[in-house]
This record gives sequence, C-alpha cells and structure tokens, in this order.
Amino acid sequence: MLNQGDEARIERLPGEFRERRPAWQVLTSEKYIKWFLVIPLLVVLGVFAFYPLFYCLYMSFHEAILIRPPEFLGLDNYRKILHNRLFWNSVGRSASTVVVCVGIEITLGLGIALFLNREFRGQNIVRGLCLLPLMVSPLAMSLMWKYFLEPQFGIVNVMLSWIGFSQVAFLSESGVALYTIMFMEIWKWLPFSIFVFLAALRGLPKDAFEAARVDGASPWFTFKKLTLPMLKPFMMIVILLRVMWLIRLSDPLFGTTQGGAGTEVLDWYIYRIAFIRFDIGEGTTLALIALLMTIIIGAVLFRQLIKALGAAR
Amino acid sequence: MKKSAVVALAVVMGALLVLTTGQVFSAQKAFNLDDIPEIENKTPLTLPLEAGGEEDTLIPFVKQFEEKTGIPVNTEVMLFAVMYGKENIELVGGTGAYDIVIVEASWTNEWAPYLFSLEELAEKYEPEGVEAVRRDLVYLDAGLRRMASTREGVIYGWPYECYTLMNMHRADVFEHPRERANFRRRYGYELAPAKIWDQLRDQAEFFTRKKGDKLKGEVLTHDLYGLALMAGRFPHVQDQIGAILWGMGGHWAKIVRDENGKPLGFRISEQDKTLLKATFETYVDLLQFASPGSLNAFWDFVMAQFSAGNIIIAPALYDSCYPWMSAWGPDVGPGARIGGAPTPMTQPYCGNFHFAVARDGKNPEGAYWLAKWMGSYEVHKAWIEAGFIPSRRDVVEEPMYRKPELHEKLGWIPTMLETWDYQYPFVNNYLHFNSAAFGKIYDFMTELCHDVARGALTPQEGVDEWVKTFTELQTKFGQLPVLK
Repeated sequence: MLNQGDEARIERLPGEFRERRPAWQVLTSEKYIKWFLVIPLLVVLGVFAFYPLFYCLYMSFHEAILIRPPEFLGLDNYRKILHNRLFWNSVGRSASTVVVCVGIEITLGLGIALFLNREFRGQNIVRGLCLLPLMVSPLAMSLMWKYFLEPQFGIVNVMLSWIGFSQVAFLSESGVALYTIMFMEIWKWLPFSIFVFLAALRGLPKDAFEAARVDGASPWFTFKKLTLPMLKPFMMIVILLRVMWLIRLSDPLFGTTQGGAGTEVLDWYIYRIAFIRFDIGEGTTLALIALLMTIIIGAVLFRQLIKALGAAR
Repeated sequence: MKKSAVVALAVVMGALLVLTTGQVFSAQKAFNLDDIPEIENKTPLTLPLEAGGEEDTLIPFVKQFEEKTGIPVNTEVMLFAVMYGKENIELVGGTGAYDIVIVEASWTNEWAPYLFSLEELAEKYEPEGVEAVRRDLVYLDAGLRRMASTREGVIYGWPYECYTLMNMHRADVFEHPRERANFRRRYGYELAPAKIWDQLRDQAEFFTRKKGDKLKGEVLTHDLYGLALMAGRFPHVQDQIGAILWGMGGHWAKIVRDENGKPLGFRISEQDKTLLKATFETYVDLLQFASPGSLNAFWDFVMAQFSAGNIIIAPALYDSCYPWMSAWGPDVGPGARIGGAPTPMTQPYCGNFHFAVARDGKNPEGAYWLAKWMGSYEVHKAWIEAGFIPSRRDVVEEPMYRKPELHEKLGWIPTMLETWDYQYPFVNNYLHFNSAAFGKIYDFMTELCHDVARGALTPQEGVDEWVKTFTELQTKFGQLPVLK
C-alpha cells in the first residue's frame, strides 16, 4: 500500500518507471474518487438539464414550429418578445404576485408561527390542521376554490350574502381575479412559511432570551432585537424558495381562469406559446428569459441569505 | 304520349332511387362487427377518448371490437383542454403513440399530412373498395362531412360526436301570457325566440330583474338575468362571437379560390372588419345583462345558471348541453320547461369530432375498422341514448326520437337539423375548415375574444389585433397566404 507521498513521487517518475496499476485502483484512489463519484450526477445533469438548456438556447435563435425544420432567425425571437405587450403584462403580473404573496406569507407565517410556538391545549391538532392546505393537490385546490368562489352558488358568496354583502365575481372581474389567484396561492403555501418559522423558533438558543428577560427587555424589544435577527436566515430561505416557485406559478390558473380576467402570469404565457401554439422558438426564448430573471433574482437573494447566515453565526 | 312517357320514366327513376337508398340504408344499418373481415395484424391499438362521460358509453363498444377481432385496444382518456396539445405533439413527432386520434373539425387541415384519408384506407382494407366508404358517408350530414374534410374535400375521419350552438330558453316564461303582454307593450312586437341579435338584446334586457320583482307573476327570491354567456378564456367564447359574426354575414377571414375552386389564400375585407367590430360591440353590450361570472364561464356555468333559474336564455350554447339542462333547481318553481331554437341568424359553429387513423400507427387496418365501427349506426344509437349528439343523420332523424315525451332530452333535434341545413352552403368558406393553422389561431381567438369581452381591448383594438396576429399566425403556421 502506497502512502500519499509515494504516490506523488511516482507521478513525477518517467512513464517507463511508473508502477502500472489496474484502472479500478486508479479510479478509486484518493485523487480520482471524488470525480468518479460525481460522474452519475454530472451525467444526470448533462442529460436532463444542460442538454435541454443548450437545446433551448439553440432553438431560441430559430423559427421552430415543428412542422418544418428550424430556420435561423438570429435574435428575432428576443426582439419580438421584448416588444410584446402580452409578455410585459405577464411579467408585471408575476412580479406583483411575488411581492404580494411573499410579503403576506412572511408576515402572516411569522405571526402564526409565534402563536403556535406557545404551549396550549390541542396544539398538535392545530398544527396538524395548519398543514392541510399543503397536502391538497394543486389542480384539486384550484377546482375547489373555483366552486367555493362561484358568484351565485359558491359558499363564499352565499356567506357574504348572509351578512348583507352583494355577490363578488372573484374569478371573472379583471381587477379582482389576480388577487383571488394570489389568495389561493397564499392559502396553499402559508403553512410552508409557518412551519419553517416554527422550526426555527423552536431551535433558537434559550439563554439569550432568558438574559433579555432578566434584563427587563420588553417583548417587542426582544422580538425586534433578538428573534427577528436570528430568524433572518430562515426568512431568506422562505423568500428565496417562494420567489422561485412563484415565478413558475401556473397551477391555480389551470382549474380557474386559464389566464383569463387579467391573470395570465409569465409561466402560463410560456406554456400557452410553447404547448398550445407550439411555437417552440418563441416558447424557448420566453423560457430562457424567465430562467435568466429567476437566476438574477435568485442570485441576489442567495447573496442575502449567505450574508444573513454569516451575521447569525 | 310524350307526357305519359316522361311520367313513367320519372316513376321508374323514383322507384330506383328509393330502392337504392333503401338498400344502402339497410346495408348501413346492418353494418356491424360481423362485417369486419379477418385482420391478420394483431398489434394492439391505442385510442384516445375525451373525458366527461363519453368513455363510459364508448368503451363497451371498444370491448366488443376487441372480442371480435382479437386486437387489444388501449384507451387513453383525456380532457378536451389538453387534447390538441397531446395529440399534436405525438402526430408531428411521428411517435406512433396513437393509432387513432380524435380530430376536432377545425384541426383537419392542419393534421391531414399525418393522417390516412378514409378512401386511402378503404382502398386497402375494404373488400368493396372506396365505394364502401362513399356509401357509408351518405348517412352523415353533408355539412359535417365537409367539416371533417380538408379544404380540397378529402375526408379523414368518421365523425362521431358533434355540437351545434343553439338558443335554449325557458319556454314556460316565453309562453306566459303576462310576460308576453308586458314584452309586447315595451318593445312593440311578440315575444318569441330571437331571430336577430337585436331581438336577443331586447329579451335580455326585459328579463334582467332584481330580487323582489316578479316573473310569471311570482316574486323573485334572487336576482334574475336575461342570459349567461361563455365569455371566459376558454375555447368557447369565440364560438359565440363567431355565431354573431357569421350571422351578420361577416367572416373572420374568407378563403379566396380561383375559378377552378383551388384555394389561393385568405382575405379579411373591409366589410369583414366593420362586421367584426359590430360583432364585438354586440357581444360586449349583451354582457351587461349576463349573470355575474360570465367573464370566467364556459358551458358548465351557463347550464348551471339555466337549471338554477338564474337566467331565462342561453342564447348560444352547445346542443350537447340540452339533455342536462332540465334538472331544475329548487328556486325555479313549477312548470319550468326548456325550449330550443336556432341561434339568431342561424349561423353558429357546428363542430364535430371525428376518429381518424394516424399514419404513424402500428396497425392502420385495425384502426380503420375500429374507427368505422365507432361511426356505425349501432354505436351512434347508443351514443344518442346516452345523452350525446351523434353525427349520423339516419340516427338523429329516427322517428322514435321525436316523441313529445322525449322533449326534455331530445328536444334539440329539430333545431340542430334546421341549423345544419341552413349552415351547409356557408361551411366551405369558413376560415375554421380551411386553415392549416387553426389549432393555433383558435388559441389566439380565445385570448382576443375574452380580452374584448372583459374590456381589456376596445372592439376597434380587437379588430386591429385580429388582423395583425391572424396574419402572423397564418403566415407562420398555415400553408395559404393572407392576401391583401
């Protein structure tokens, strides 16, 4: 058995003096094993991520409509999309969805987590019930809300009429429908932020809070100066993940508006161009632009996350 | 002498015609599984079916086919919303995933390169050759036959289901003496199913009432709306808008042919633009009398509104909805009755689905006979009795389906036949059945019509957007140019 120093010396010897070792031994040597182990992952990434990504890039420079061979267009698809009002409208809707949903989920999620962090009777049942929306399949969820919010028969409007309010066409009024979609999304994903914050709160060091209490710090002061800074990395994780998921939002639209009533967000627009119109050139261009946006926003948020982790140490 | 000879000749010709038709009629009725010859290729077939109840009706017939031929058939049930995309990618990619595909009439031109024509298949597999197909197709409505064909007139599939927009209304309300008298007093003419869109507007306005007002002399316990529309962003809004446009004599885009009938391209005339603008205005105007929710609606919403007694008229709804609309809700009151009439101006969309054999399938012979079996009299009879709308006129015209006691389930038949007959001369010129890009144009129409309906585009902006984007899509995906 050679030790590390011997191995290095042998490397430096002219070829004819080197000891010839079987391939298996070479691959499993300390020098190569890490690369050897990473090969399956690289293959999977190459086949399922890099190849489609580069193929998308190739297609985005072409007029690709399936019925004839792709025709090179240069940057025409990009130019066309960047001058398209439907694209910018959908980007605007996606952006407002991200801001509203993440803002509410963080605020409400933290509030509910603080409440659930206390000991009370039936706490496990309440926590279990809070988790339910996450378990509903996205399509079932959108259909369920469609019927709940139906203008005349829907339970929500029936209840509103009991207390004297007039009917609201939640999913058909242009100014309201997008907010309804946001509400559905918040309803489904609020438990995610609740439980991330709850887990974080449970893991906070008790001694710091004990010291603050002994020093007579008010609950608000403790929350502002201790809880919130310590939760920042978790908050950044929730924001990072939710922003990325919300840019790809499309499930709640499937069973409800199908992009109508001013609810066409970026992902739905991409789906429609690529898989209903089968304009693959334009569809891939849109997908790449969306990916680029996600990467930029993700990178900024990731930097913040790293900073927050550093500060929390 | 001369006169009697002519009469005799006419009698003989008439008798021959009757006898021939009679023979064909009975031959066609007699077509059943036993007429399918032995098929050597036992490669399993894959057949898509639309979800929503039709699979329950058709699958037993698929099983019978399997038993008779020994060819296993896999059925794949899918929603209509995903059907075009799913089938399109398999056909264009030549994957061989489906031996038979469901083709909506307006997709025929687009998919023709990936399908076998019926005559091509008959030549190979029918003992009597193409004549057998030609004889069998006589029992389809002529308009539907054209819709299942390309613009060159080549037929690709056996139509099995169709849907014709019609005007459904509360016949009991339309016949109520007090309502009739009030309507006459207000509008100066008799209350009857609208023949033109202006009449429909009057009726929609007349029946839009508040809770506490009266209907048929009874106090309403909820708001009442004249009508409900399918104005959501679903592939139905353009069918309603198209019914107005075609009824006014306009075209989305009209096919232009040379003197020999060869298609040269499409043209949107100035008159078409003016009529499209008027159409959009009419539709937007009607929406003020539509029940809330119409802007996110398709047919299921309109049906529910009608059955619950929230509306009086469903002015352009698929006849396939008719059998389900008499399940009256508790607020409707006694005596409610459905009535049917053609849509105003009688030129709505009359689409159909047909089963066509894919070129990349592994067993075209088996697929041909299965598709033919699905188009047979026996299957269509079961189809109508299950509450669906068949494409065969011999089934629809059966006297047994005209009994008054079947009105609630089959009262759509006279209206549908009237609409088919009225529409037939126009079908050949409609964009839907001539463009090879219609699957894509259809999606754009949905977006456009919905945006105009919800006020995101004015009618004039809608027209401009239509001209611009239709030209782009037709040029990119279609085979014929858009002519100036």
